[in-house]
Amino acid sequence: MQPRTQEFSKLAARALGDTQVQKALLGLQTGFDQARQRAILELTPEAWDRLRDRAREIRRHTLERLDYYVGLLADNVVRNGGAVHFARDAHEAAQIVLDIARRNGVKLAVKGKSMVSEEMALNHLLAANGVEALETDLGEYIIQLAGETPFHIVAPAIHKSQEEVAELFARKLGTPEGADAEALTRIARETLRQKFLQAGMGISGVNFAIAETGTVCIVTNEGNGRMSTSLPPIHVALMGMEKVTPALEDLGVFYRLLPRAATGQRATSYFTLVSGPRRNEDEDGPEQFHLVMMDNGRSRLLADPELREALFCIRCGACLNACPVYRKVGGHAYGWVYPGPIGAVVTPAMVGLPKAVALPFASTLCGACREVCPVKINIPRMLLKLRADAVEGAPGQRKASWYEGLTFRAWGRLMRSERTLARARGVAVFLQRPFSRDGWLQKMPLPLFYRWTRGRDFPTLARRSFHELWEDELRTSSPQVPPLR
Amino acid sequence: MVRASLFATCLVDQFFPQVGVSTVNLLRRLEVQVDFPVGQTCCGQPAFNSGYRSHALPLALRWLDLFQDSEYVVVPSGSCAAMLKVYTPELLKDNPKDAQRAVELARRTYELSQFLVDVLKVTDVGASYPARITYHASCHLLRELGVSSQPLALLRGVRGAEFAPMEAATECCGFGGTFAVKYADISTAILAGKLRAIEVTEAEAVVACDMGCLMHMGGAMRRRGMKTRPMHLACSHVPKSSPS
Amino acid sequence: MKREEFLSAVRTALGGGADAPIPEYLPMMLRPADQRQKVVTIEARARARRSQLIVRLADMAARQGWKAYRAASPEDGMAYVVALAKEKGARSAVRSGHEVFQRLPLDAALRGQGVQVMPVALGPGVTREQLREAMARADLGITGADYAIAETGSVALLPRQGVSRLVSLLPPVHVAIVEAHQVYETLDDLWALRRMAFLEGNGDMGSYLSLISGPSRTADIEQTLVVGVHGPLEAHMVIMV
Repeated sequence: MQPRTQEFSKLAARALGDTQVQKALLGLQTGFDQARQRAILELTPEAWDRLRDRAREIRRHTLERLDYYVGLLADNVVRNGGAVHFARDAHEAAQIVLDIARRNGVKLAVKGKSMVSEEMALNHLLAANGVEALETDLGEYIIQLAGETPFHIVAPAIHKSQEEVAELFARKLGTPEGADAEALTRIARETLRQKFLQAGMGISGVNFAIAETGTVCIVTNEGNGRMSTSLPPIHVALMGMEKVTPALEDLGVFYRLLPRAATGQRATSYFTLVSGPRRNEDEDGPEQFHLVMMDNGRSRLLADPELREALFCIRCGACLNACPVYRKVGGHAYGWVYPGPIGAVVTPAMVGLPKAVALPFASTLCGACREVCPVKINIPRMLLKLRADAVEGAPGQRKASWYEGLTFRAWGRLMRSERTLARARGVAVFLQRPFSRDGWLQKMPLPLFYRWTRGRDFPTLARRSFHELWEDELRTSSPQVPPLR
Repeated sequence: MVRASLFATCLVDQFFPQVGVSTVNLLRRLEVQVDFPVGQTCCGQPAFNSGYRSHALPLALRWLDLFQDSEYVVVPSGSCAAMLKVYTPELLKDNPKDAQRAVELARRTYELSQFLVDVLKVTDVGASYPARITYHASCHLLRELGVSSQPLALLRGVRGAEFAPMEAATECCGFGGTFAVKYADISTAILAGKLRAIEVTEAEAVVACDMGCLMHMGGAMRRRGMKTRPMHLACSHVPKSSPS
Repeated sequence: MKREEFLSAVRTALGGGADAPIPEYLPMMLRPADQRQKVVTIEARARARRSQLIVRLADMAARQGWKAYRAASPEDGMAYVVALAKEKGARSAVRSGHEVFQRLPLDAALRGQGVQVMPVALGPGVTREQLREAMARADLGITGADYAIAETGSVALLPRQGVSRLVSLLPPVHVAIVEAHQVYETLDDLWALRRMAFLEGNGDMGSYLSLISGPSRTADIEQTLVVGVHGPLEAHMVIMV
């Protein structure tokens, strides 16, 4: 997938004008976000907070020695009879999967949900080389049929209406029109069931990987994760290297956090732990197990003490549901795999800050993301750091508009001297007079400000500043009413 | 007697000086000795939040110098108080001496409602405002400073005021400082939801502790001809007998 | 990319060298004897609270979308399954080789109702393909349980010899027979028990674990909950009290 991160404004405008997308986004608030809140209440907010703190401790510890735990995981996967592959970037990772498919003459691969595979644009590479890769998560299946990218980390097709999906299925699969969600789900079940049975390879993501036992853990509701790891003769699991956690016991923390934060569930229908290929005596299961561990910019986040926390992320999508900006522009506006607040932090590390510079600025810094994050990632602070990197950082990182730079230089000069400020103010008060309507400006034909006045009036400068009022009246005056006590 | 220095903020100084006047009157009525260090301009937040830390830095130092002898610093803005209390010490981290001064001054710096309730321990300031009001919880006040109950306690103490809670009062209004200009259409799209929530309350005034949010909401309410007007907490606490 | 190259890039990012000491992480430091002690405590607590745990399991299972049934006796449990098969018009069932079926003559009971029952186990003349085909056709998939977790209303299955991954997955209806001694309180208990198995198995705890907490489901279209996607459309938990 080519990043479209530079088109943020255009894509956002498109989403703002799309009534179906707006309707779907409203639904995320009443759906996922409220479900999350209910789940926390059921567990008790105190217990929830303890889990979050514990999760942070585990993540911090793990990342501090990520080299050790990645190595340990690899050793133990091999001991379980699996193969481990290391990929510096997404391209290399995709190539590894293709090689496995080729070596084994695979023609059809069934895929469980994997955001890492989106980073790799894996489906395209496989298809271009004669391997059909079929998404089996219902949401992913829908967007694959539609030729789109995920709109949301946990609900990729949430932007589509039932009618749109029905129309898509009718067009692509020849099924009856006007089917409802249940009928559409059954259609996907029937269609994909055959594919599961025929596939030569199953591809899955990884939610957590246990270093000590060499186990990858997959969280699903639909059962496609179990299918793709049980039926095909080869299972390939794809993971970002930060997904490793030391011990099985850590699941007591993470598997309590993830379902609740993502969909408000106490537990998902399925939680699948895979420790290598099937043993000889097993009744079924794949003969080969491959784990592909990918860096793809993660070591960049790791190296920056102010951004490392972004690797705490467990990909629940809660920050998307809570973000006022995501709730308006949706997932496609962000132009790459990871949307929303966490996307604005990790995308620059993966595609380069200059290309993705719009994202860290596309935030009101309201802090709702940090508030809902199950691992309390301080996203606003990282957005601020990325903004500073973009403006004043290393030359290769910088991507600021000269125009904005000039504006801030002028602003800085004004603010550094109250005298200059007072003089400039005098001029501005005079100039604004003809445009003022009861203390408000309706149109400001000035650069930057015209944007403000497109949807809002702008206040005029007060006739006298507070400085003046203080000097003239307040400094020496006594309270205008007698004191209370 | 408690002494407090007012950090008025640039928006109040330039656009909404009446908020400063109300703040001073309110504090004096509570027997606080108020001073206003002349020469203060801005906390630096617009530059800091836009990545121009080098332009924010001199303003941080200015705050340190102008307020170094203050017993308390009172700021009638959640986001400016957050800039001073939370981010300024970090901004100055390359110079440990300044950073340390900032940490100490940050400890004595309070947002207005926080100062009234947590320091002065008052919730009833004898204010009277016979109207239907609602409250918007500004994001930085709420999530950077953790101030949630104080403004509500103060509003409960206003005589004659009928409080109409706003749906999703803690959700962002879409202002976000320079975001409101940079991504103006997204900003106003977020604001639309907030305005609907305000409309439902049928309040005469929407009260908040931050002129940034209020300028943004107020500008749109005016554009749309809504009857509700924006009001800073300090102004909803103007004593009855004082001229408005 | 070579493993060493990859790890050295990570080390560089961390600013550390290859000679850093092995980090200490408490849950990994428990030796077999300590882990055993932990498991003994868990077992004792579960035994002491079993009847409450069973009530909680049934309650949470129902909330998770299982049809949960507390069977007063083995006969009662079998009657439930037979009635279910009848209600579904089931003609064929597959079942796992869990130990419980040696005690519970469920095959006979179902066959008595004209339901064909196939135990899923490789054997002379039985290939994986045949088993898979039978499972894909079956109306009912019946398994025991290896653990049941009250906290989340879950059944944990450990696929192995005699326990297929697919019996609980391919048929449209899954029935899990849970015995009282398999019921534990929390997920933490499960992970501790599995780590014990890992240590006792010399670093092998088996290839797979399925934690099942209800029927398969999705909300991918307009957040409308639809039960029954790729896995079972219905999941029944029969708890032998």
